[in-house]
Amino acid sequence: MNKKVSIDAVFKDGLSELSFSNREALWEKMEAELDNKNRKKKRFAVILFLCCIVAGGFFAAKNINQNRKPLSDNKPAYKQIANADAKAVNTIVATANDRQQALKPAMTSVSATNAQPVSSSSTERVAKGSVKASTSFDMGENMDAVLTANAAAGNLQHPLEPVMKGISTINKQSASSQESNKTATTADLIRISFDEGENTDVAFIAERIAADFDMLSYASPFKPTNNFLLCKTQVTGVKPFARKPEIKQQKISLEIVAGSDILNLNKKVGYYAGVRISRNLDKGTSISAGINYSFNTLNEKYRLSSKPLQQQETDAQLNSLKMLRFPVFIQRQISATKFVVMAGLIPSYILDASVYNIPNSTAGNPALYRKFTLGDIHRFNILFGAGIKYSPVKKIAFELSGSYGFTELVKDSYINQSNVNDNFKNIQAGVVFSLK
Amino acid sequence: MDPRLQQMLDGCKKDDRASQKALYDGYFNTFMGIAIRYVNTQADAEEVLNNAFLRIFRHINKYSGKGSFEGWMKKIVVNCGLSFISRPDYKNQAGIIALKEYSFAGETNLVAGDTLFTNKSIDEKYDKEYLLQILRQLPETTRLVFNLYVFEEYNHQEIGELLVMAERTSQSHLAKARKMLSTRLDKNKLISKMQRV
Repeated sequence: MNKKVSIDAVFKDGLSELSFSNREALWEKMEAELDNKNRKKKRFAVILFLCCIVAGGFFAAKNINQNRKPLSDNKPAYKQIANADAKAVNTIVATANDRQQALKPAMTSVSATNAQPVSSSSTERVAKGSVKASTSFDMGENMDAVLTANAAAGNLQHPLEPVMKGISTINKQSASSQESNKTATTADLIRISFDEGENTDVAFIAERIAADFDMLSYASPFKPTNNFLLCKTQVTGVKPFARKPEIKQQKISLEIVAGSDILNLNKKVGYYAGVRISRNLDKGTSISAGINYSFNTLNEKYRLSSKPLQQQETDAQLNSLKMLRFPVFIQRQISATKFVVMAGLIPSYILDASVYNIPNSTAGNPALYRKFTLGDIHRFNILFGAGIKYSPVKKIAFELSGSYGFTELVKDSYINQSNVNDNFKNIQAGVVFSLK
Repeated sequence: MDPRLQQMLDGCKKDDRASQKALYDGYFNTFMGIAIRYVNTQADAEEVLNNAFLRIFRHINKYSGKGSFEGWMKKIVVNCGLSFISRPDYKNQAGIIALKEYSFAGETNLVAGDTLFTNKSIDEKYDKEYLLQILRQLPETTRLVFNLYVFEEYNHQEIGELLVMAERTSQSHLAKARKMLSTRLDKNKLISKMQRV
């Protein structure tokens, strides 16, 4: 055993405290690797950032263009659109009879007073009547369009008119010899899906119209300005397109709010409750207005004599308060977080208050206190309020706000007699429930 | 913990280059001594050492403060050494190693052969060289077990878990290592010399 231990000891002791000479050279190599590592970190961060931008751009582009399928040069437009959205197109242009049936109720809803003969030219699209222009297009909305002929440009009151005037060179497609003679008829009614709001590319609309209308080709230049009018009609007999679900931002919401209220005038925790209506102004910003009722309970132990400014004979004491507040706040979401900051003015009106004039000589003997009438106090006040709101879930939020009044509790006639006559200051902490 | 070491540790956590250099300088010889027992050439030992220090600097924030910081670093060096020799492209070059590759301080012209392998005169200044050389002549697994048991003070259970072998196998390797080293070492001369020292 001793022999074995000695062998271990020989090596352990013998190989301890080795020293090597090339430390500096190795450190330089090491330092280079450390620098390289830091550079790699930075490079990785930059690459990650660029990837995010590219991915975001790709995603956005994909969403924007998902309904704008490019048309290749060697296929008629209608075929490509029909392939891309076969169900929709087939619904509209199934048969001529269907279209006739479909058009009847539609045409009754428009003022078809200026019926025009069918044009034999493929460039002069067939028209029927003049119709009133519709309202603006919303995302996902389906619109019906009727081709009109000889409609004066001045009659086109549609919001898209300026845009439509801007296109004059849609000549992607060339007419094939067999199909170019085919023209649309007065019975043709088309429906257009506006998937991208008011900025929908009119060239796309024109191509869609051409496709839906069995216009197998159109000559160059195609000028939709004088050839079709978009209108909103009530169409029966034509199956509607499958609509995309509308992405609606809730513009107006009703909220119920309740919580605790600490008032500086009596240092007593009360409560408040109320309703308010909130309306979105733009993304992340909203305005809210409402009404709150607050009640601050009696606090017999508190006297407003904590910081006398001058030696006066009496103090004012607020025991209880019932007040209505009408807060008007501007709210702004902090970046993409769940926090909202708010600020605004709070007109308030005191419904009832127990305010006492306490002569110093009678302090401690409530029987001798004199109660102020409501006429002696400022019943109407304007407070400045600000706060923060946190919404962990969609319907519920927690808010913390404070307010400061610009007027004092008791009217000026009393100021000379009182030691302390504070302004309104209070802190509210409550829960907000969104109803709609 | 030693205040100076604590200062270096704090600096390294902040990526302070001066602290990293101080730590590197402070433990260079110790860790090089560990690394060189696991590999066969100085170049390999240097690579192991730098890999180990890179890993230490990268993961220094993971050191919780429990246990010895030096022990934590040593474990990394040993693991780096084991990783290095387990690489598929690593070849055991124990048989062809030339001692002149080693440039210990003040011994740059050391030549293997005459004095070291004849065992005729074991000069004290070459003891470390000689011991290292005969240690490297052990079969790889046997040498690993000996290194871990004697130098790193692992027990057989830990060695078995690390090298994926039974405890008894580890014990067997250790016994074999001792026997081979005893045979190859000019035991009497060396031990008597050390006893004199």
